Amino acid sequence: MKMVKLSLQMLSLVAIFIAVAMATLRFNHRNDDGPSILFPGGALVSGELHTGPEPNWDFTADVQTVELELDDSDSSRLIWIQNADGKAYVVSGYMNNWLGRLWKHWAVEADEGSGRAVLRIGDTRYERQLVRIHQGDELDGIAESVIRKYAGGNPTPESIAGFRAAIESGATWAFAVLPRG
Amino acid sequence: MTTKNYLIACGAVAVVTALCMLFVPPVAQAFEGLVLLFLSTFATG
Repeated sequence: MKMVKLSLQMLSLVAIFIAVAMATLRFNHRNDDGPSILFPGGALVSGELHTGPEPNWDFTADVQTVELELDDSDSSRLIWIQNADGKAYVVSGYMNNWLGRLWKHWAVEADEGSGRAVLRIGDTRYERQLVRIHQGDELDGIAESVIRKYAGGNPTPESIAGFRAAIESGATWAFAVLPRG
Repeated sequence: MTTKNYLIACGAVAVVTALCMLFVPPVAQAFEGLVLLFLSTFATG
């Protein structure tokens, strides 16, 4: 019995170490210029601000992650990016439960706030507007891009339809990354 | 461990951990590396 109690106490000390370490590091990174793989960062301040004509976003087909900052909160994180017909999109899964919405809080902020954002790809920052898409045929292009880049690389009509259904049901949220109007 | 000593140990671990993460960069970097290694080892898809 004593050994069981001591073992549980040791395990709880390890758990405290891990929890405090993660919380402290997250606090320490909160104002960094951009996110790390593990922790969100602060405002994206370095990098050239794109001011030319609207780019063809199909170049992001070779980009795995981008840095996204929401103006409403000045926080940034690494997220996936999709492209279809020259336009850029970002999606957020697991949005059909409270834990998912807590984890992917940036999507809730974008949907309920102004949607104004800054995207940084490499050394270039793009001032953007995130606009949520609930339905429509452009969801097929978004689904194909997600499956091709991040889910095995073989989009079929069935898998595209399934992903589109997830967006239309609200389980996954999709945002168009548009120029600021 | 008595309850009193256990609670003291909890407080000490929390304080020392926080101070190390804040003021000893090699420790913070090593911990982040371990977390990344753990996540990449058990990531699916």
